[in-house]
Amino acid sequence: MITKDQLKHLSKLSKIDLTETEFETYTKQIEKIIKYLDKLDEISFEENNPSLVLSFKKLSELREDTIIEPTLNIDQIAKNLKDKFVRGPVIS
Amino acid sequence: MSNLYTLNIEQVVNGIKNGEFTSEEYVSQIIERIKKVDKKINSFITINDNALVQARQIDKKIRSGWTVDSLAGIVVGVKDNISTAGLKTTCASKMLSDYVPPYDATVIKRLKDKGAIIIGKLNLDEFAMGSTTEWSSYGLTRNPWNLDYVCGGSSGGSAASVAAQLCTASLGSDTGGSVRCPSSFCSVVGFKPTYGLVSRYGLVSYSNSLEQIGSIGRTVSDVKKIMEVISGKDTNDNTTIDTKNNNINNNHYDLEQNNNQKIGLLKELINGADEPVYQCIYSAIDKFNEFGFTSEESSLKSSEYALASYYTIATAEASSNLARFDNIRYGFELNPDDYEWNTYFSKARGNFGDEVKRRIIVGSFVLSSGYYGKYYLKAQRVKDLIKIELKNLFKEYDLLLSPTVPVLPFKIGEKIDDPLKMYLIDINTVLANLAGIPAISIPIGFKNGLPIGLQIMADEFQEKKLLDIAEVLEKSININTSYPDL
Repeated sequence: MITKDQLKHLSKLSKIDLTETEFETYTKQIEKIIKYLDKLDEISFEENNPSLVLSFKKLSELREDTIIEPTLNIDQIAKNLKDKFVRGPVIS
Repeated sequence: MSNLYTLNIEQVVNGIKNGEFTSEEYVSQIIERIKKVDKKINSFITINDNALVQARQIDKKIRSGWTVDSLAGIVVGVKDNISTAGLKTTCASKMLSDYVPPYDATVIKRLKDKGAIIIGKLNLDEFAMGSTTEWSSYGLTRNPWNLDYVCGGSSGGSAASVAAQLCTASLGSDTGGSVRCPSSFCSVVGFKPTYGLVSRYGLVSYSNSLEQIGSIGRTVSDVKKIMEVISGKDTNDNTTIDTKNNNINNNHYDLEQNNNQKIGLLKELINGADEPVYQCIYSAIDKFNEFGFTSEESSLKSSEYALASYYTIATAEASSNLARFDNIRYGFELNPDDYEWNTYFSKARGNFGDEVKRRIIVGSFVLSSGYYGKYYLKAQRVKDLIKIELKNLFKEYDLLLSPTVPVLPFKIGEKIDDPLKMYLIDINTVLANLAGIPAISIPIGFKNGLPIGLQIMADEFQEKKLLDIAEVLEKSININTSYPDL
């Protein structure tokens, strides 16, 4: 069960402003979605249930740590740049 | 020459190479067709104004005796969440309406190196979140077979443009079925590779542990040719693997010698489909059996929990990945002066569309204190369980079959107000993303003029077997010779 207050808290955590209408519709829709995700409760795992030994061993190989000169010129596309710094809103 | 836009990759490359037509003539015809046809389906967000210049460069190189590259002169449409240097990449979002990437994604660089021309950027559900391409800030994409129906998603523009013959082939991204679902709804071939086969460098992340870039074409052969070029290790994406011994295009499947393939029919997925889809799947299977394949019913019990696991992981990763969009370094015009940080951030991010906001919020919920174990951890364990169960099935079967989508394409607007109904469209496709295995959708028929697709899955890194057998099945069905009249 998701309440409107919970949704307000979640939107604050997610840093997304919602309008009153959005709060109304999203509360109902998100509640329905979460209820579906509760399906995960139906399945039980024993404590020592052998989880998969991932076959992605190769994927965990780390690359050599070498210094590469940056090739992207972000000055051309970045907004709010001032003297090599990024200008942002005030942090209070 | 007339109707060059109907040609496949091999015909385009050979036609240009042998001087039957020029690259410029081909690209001109495509652009003319886009101008004429795309106003009906809205598959493009941006058209590359430099495409003709690039075509002329190819013609010039050919005249000077250049050895023609494997994709020279073909035109590729690219989903608008894949970075293209100098060409707007909006993710179909107002948040990135003016964003021009300073670099090419690895897949784009590899295509260009082989002579492919990027013709433009294709429509999608905002940030690839959706199954119908109705969630785009640039208007929805319509199904070329019936303009009142959805084209599937999220790579809807990529599938619709290929079906409407507006490009030779296209790229999409597949997080939970986003290449395969629209391919099924538009009667084209869509392929999602094994996780790690294709570099994600330059793909705007939504759910990075699940997504892969895949190709869409009018034939399995075209899809293979694109995959051959874009696959392989990339130092910019450390999840990629070396494919030196995994050449997916070096030999054709030998039907005579390999006619003992055993195919598992996933009963939970087939029985869950609507009647017309179910019937179409079985008549296709009858045709395959004539080729000597053995098929029998098989079961994947954990499939019941796949969708809940998928949406938990995908939304959790989305809430984290999309946290980077603060609108400070890039984004739309909103002056940060006189704003407090949190106020600015929340106001700017209010510009995300409905579905993106919902998924970020659901993601924050499943990751929040007190719920993490109940949702996210559980979802990861279900993911492992599905992987184990599929691994065991592949000990017994070479391939697994199911409908790509359990329903026929439906009318525009029909499911837009009910996100959960929309999510259920992905029920058959999310399995391959959770398990990281390759899967393809091939067209197998129509009901009331609406396309039906078959999904074929193989074990990880078995793309060669999967694509070669898919090509045999495609020939036995023989339906992708007609295209929508637009």
